[in-house]
Amino acid sequence: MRKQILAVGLPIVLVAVSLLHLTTGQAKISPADVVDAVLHYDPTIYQHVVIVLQRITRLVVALYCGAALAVSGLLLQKVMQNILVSPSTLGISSGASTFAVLAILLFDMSGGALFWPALVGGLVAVGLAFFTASLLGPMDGSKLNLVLAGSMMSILFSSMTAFIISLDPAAFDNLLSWLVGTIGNFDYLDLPLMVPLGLLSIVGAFILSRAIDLLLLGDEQAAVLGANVKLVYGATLGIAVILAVSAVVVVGPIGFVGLVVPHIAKILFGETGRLPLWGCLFIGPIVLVTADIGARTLAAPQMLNVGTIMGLIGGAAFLLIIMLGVKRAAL
Amino acid sequence: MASKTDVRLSQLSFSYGRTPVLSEISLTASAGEFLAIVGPNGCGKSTALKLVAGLYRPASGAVYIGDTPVTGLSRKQLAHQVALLTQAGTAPVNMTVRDLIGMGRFAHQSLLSRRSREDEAKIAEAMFAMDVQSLHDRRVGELSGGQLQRCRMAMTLAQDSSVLLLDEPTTYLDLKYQYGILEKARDQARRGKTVIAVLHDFTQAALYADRVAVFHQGRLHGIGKPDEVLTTETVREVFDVATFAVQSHGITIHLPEQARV
Repeated sequence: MRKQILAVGLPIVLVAVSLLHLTTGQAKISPADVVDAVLHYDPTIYQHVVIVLQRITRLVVALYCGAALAVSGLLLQKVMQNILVSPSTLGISSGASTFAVLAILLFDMSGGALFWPALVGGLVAVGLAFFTASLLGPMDGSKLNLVLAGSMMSILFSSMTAFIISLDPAAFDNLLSWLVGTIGNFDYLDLPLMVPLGLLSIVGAFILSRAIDLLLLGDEQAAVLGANVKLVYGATLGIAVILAVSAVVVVGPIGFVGLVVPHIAKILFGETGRLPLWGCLFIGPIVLVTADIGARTLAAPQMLNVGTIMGLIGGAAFLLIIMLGVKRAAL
Repeated sequence: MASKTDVRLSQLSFSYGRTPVLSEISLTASAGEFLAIVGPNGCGKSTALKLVAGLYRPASGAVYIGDTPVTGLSRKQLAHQVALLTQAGTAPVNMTVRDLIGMGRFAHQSLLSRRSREDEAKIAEAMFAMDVQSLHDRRVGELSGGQLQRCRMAMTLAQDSSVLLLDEPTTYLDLKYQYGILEKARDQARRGKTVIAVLHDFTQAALYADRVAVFHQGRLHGIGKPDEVLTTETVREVFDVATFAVQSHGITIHLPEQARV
């Protein structure tokens, strides 16, 4: 049943929301025109230009970032053995944002080139979170100290970003929506710089998935069963940071995708194996594409930030998941 | 069945920071033998098992699996040789029993391969051995403590290693499951495996172990057949408890003097 949902149900839903995404917007465009624009592109037809140059770009960005954030969140939740962990709660997104903003201010960098300073920022944030957690005491099974330290880093780096922006607000005027989380600011020509790295990381996650599952049994039992625990931790964290940062550079620090989607995937496809990873690859894009449809239609003609929509829907969904979990545990 | 392998501890010492835990322990557990380690809390029993499993590096001395020092083996190579049922085992509540037991096969699989027929056969064999077939699709969160311990033992058996280490395997279990696990451990020894178990209960050690090693303050106090080692003198010296011995069914049972009415 699970495999049927994955192989048939989710691809159908993904194609449906993608088509809806392409046809929805200020200019109403029929599905037939969408297909026509893709198959017989004619730059003299207005609808074709809108579809190919704007909406497909936007769709591709939403598809990639949804998948990257969801897989990143799933990996983090598994290695930290804590259901509250996500790229946002560990400070990765905030660290990446701070270093990206710093690179804009100091080196006038833009587009895909921001990936590298953002990656350094993400790694610095995680490194500081680990360092702080080690000061708080030995890591327990739930890595709770690390979650608290990560939340602290998230607040610290968000404040640093606000401080940097306040130094020269005019220079960052068009970046404010990115800091909330938006799809559309990014020049799609820069996406190919990151997508190959992101795809390699996703392949790496699939290769490591069996070893990552062992960590769920505790570090010592995982080691005795044959896992090189430190290597698996390091590689998984590295992959999760790369995926999260590659998404943050494009759409900003959108919250909840990396927190809620892994939970949905685990409910549908179980805790272990590669199925929840496949689930995140479909559900992450479905959620972000749907949120983007909401961002463009809910207050039309006003355009909302997708980060705002995700915050509202994701926060409610997360509460629901927690309440259902508590109810299930009580039964 | 994995090949038969002796485990040799040679002048083994270990410290946690500056606190010495084990001092110059030398002993050999032979293939086909069930060796029980007993001793008071904090005497280094569990640490010794973790050194055999390669989880810690010795401060001095060495552990040999066959002729190979443990420190010379990769984690995967070691997992082929040594399985350890850890004391405080956790598993995600939503994981199925079959997936949990399947994790015992990790060292036998490549990162991209699926479970082989051999993997499936070993998992089925381990489930049968621990009598948990009926639980295969249950989630870990639905199991009792005893059921979970049997499933974890099945995972350890599925690893199909030549050395089986059990760290207080009967703690928190009902009597029925305590003896069930120990019987299975003895059965594994009879099949040629080297079984080393940390036990708290002398009676269990006397009933199931071929030999008993008594640890005291990080040192090997004595090693030999249960009757030779588990004497009232040893119990007094090591545990600081006065006991009287009762012979029953060919084994010696120790009862506390203060319990005499």
